[in-house]
Amino acid sequence: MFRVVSNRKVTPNAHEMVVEAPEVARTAQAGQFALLMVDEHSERIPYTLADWDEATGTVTFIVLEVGKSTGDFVHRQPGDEVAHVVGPLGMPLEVENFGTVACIGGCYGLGGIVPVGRTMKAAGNRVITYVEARMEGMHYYLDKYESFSDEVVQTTTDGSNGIKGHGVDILEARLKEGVRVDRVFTIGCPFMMMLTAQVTKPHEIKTFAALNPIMLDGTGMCGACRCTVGEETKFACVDGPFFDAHEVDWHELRDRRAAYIFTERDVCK
Amino acid sequence: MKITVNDQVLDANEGESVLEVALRHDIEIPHICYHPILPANGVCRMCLVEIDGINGLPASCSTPAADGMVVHTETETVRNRRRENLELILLEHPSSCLVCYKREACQTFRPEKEKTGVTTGCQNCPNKHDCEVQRLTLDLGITDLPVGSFYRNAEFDRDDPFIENDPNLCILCGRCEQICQYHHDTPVVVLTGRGPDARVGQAFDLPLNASGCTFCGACVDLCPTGSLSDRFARWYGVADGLVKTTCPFCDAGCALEVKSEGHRVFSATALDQTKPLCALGRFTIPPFLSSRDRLTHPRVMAGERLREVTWEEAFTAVADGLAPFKGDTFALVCDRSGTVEDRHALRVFTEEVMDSSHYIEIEDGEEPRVELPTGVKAVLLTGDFLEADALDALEMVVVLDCYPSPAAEKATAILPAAILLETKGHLVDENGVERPAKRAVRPAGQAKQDHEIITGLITAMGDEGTAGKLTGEIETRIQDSEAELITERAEAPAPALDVTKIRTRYRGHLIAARVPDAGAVQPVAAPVPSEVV
Ligand SMILES: Cc1cc2nc3c(=O)[nH]c(=O)nc-3n(C[C@H](O)[C@H](O)[C@H](O)COP(=O)(O)OP(=O)(O)OC[C@H]3O[C@@H](n4cnc5c(N)ncnc54)[C@H](O)[C@@H]3O)c2cc1C
Ligand code: SF4
Ligand code: SF4
Ligand code: SF4
Ligand code: FES
Ligand code: FES
Repeated sequence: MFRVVSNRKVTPNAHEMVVEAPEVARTAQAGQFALLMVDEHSERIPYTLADWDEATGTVTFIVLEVGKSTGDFVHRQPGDEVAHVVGPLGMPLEVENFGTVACIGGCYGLGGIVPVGRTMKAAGNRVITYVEARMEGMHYYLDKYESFSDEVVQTTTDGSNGIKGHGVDILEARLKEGVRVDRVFTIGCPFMMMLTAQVTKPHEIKTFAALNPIMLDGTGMCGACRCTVGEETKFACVDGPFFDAHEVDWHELRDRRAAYIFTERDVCK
Repeated sequence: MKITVNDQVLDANEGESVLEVALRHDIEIPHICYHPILPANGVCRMCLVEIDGINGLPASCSTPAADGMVVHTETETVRNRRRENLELILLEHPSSCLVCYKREACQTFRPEKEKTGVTTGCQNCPNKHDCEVQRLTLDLGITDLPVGSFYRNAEFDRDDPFIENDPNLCILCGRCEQICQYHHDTPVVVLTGRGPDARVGQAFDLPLNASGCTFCGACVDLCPTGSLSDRFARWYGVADGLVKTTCPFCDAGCALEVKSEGHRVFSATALDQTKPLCALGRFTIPPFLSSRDRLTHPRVMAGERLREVTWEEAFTAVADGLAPFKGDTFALVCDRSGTVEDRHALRVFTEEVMDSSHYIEIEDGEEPRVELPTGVKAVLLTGDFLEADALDALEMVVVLDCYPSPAAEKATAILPAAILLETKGHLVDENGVERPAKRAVRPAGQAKQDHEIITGLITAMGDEGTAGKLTGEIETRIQDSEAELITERAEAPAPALDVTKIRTRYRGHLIAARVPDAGAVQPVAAPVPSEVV
């Protein structure tokens, strides 16, 4: 069993969950995720590792409540336990001094982008962090971003906090002005990641996006998470989750994520 | 009486408001809190107009039309104030999707609504595909707000049966309170709190089932936002099926408007909105139809176990099994929940095919456990009607039913029945009048309607003549039907005013065992506040 250390509501629909999982914390690397089962017979649900601490043996997830499994998880209180945390899974990101790195986070990626930015900074990169949210009260972790970023750009769709708009538009405007960016990493909903890819492609900036197809076993066996990247079939759980965003078939990702929509609705009743 | 609206001379009736006259003549004046069946409330200030000789901008919904009145609905002043008023509403509403400049691209990429725990914008709002606030915002061309909107961060109430209440989406139009009062005299949902704490809820924050709510769902139906929503229907999309039919749960005969998507019924609402439905009609049909426990495939006892078989195999097995029991050793037990046609087929089967006098039809309201006449050795049951010891004494049990029961465990054969909106024919209302039952979705799995199963059985017994005649009769009856829906009810059905009168069983099964919320609508005592000793 894995103990929940803290559960903090960071936005109206997202919780920061800190869970004791020393084995995961010991070997985690930026870009990886873990599979979590709330109860012995629950679904296995993938969550991006938003942080970890080897010393305390804890890992941090940002969980957006969207259905049954995420709902069950965010209702666990400190001291409660979850049945399994399996990880770290997926390929760690390739880390180098690329020069200037833009990290774009939205949705649960507001947490997921943290280890990416931190690792890129440690490798000597200049890090610009773009964090986008719908509205005021949906940004958090500003202190964390500041600890590794040379600049933090906060945007909201309605302009209630930071700049009005989307992170990727600010990036686009700067690229047009001739600002140099060498690598882009993005974590968020498929729509935002697709837009990011569209913006960076004409500038030929290598861009990596963390794909989030439905996953079952997380071991490359079941095929649930297959995606098409540059005409090739890839398994997001073992080959990813980060892939070259310019090569991803975003419409396929969207459709595959919606494949079980009827069952997902009915279990919420 | 005549009034002039934007240079058009319109006839007006005594007692009509300016808004009503305009709407009746297809002149659109934006409005939110006004609803045709409710008295004007005048709170949203969207319906402002200019009227010659009257100072300021009166609300057209609460201004009675008067002969000779000259009204302007689209002057610069009116438009500006209308816009400002909507902007004020949007400032306390999760408006990000409304003012997002990527809206079109977003909607092209992901037109479906996104299921979520807490709604933060139209994209993940239960109202996404049908919202008056959204429509008005687009119509008035509002694409930006003077400042960012304010999220109330109020507690989302998800603990009540069937109904969810997210006060963060509420625009305080008051329609819910008004319709509840209209139907039930004393409103259960009321506007509480002031200023930033204003919200819709129950007095003392009691749960709905401790506040006298009958779960008629009228407040949900009239709420123009995603604030009050139907938990089952919330995340369905645009209906691809729409059927008007009679509620199949009791004999009150209420007419329903039924929506489905991808062969699943997701909502049923009152066709006549001036009268409430009961909790069964309004909320229970979709979950009762779609529960995972439904019997969906014909099964026949093979050795020790029930084995899935084709319908042909099932018919033959049952026909052979029942053959030795012709006469009064056979009995058929059903209730009145099926259509007239289904019950006719069951009776013909018992009396004419099985030659038995034991056609036992349980009356509504009767205890659904029957004692069998002595000498009966084989039964066909259409529901959960027999106690275990009665079952033990039988040599053959055929179950034609929708859900598992003790009988299904002892059955020689299980024939899965189509139920409720999966069936068609006629239902008889409390006054003995036949009402149309329309099929809204295909049956679960391989289930078939009772009369189809019965004719299948009769055919397998070698009596094709009777089977053909029965099918022919039923088809003609449905085809030539002149039965009509109750499009205007004189009175509310009794269970819509008193939840203790709601029917609790269907085919002998406790409805609440399949749909727990249906049991939770029964009144509970108000919890004692902890600080009171
Ligand atoms: C590599 C990866 C990392 C992720 N990181 C996070 C994260 O850090 N925080 C977070 O909140 N969410 C994350 N997700 C998404 C998260 O897994 C889903 O939101 C979650 O599975 C929904 O489960 P549910 O039962 O609550 O909702 P459901 O009602 O079952 O589903 C809602 C939607 O979530 C998606 N989903 C459902 N089941 C799965 C599954 N087994 N695997 C993946 N997606 C699924 C589908 O698109 C579905 O339409 C990540 C997904 C992947 C693949
Ligand atoms: S209530 Fe209407 S305007 Fe408000 S978020 Fe929902 S769909 Fe959008
Ligand atoms: S469901 Fe009916 S009785 Fe209950 S609060 Fe709504 S309108 Fe009132
Ligand atoms: S809950 Fe709905 S109907 Fe009631 S006041 Fe709010 S927006 Fe209006
Ligand atoms: S989750 Fe099964 S192959 Fe990736
Ligand atoms: S519609 Fe007239 S004030 Fe609301």
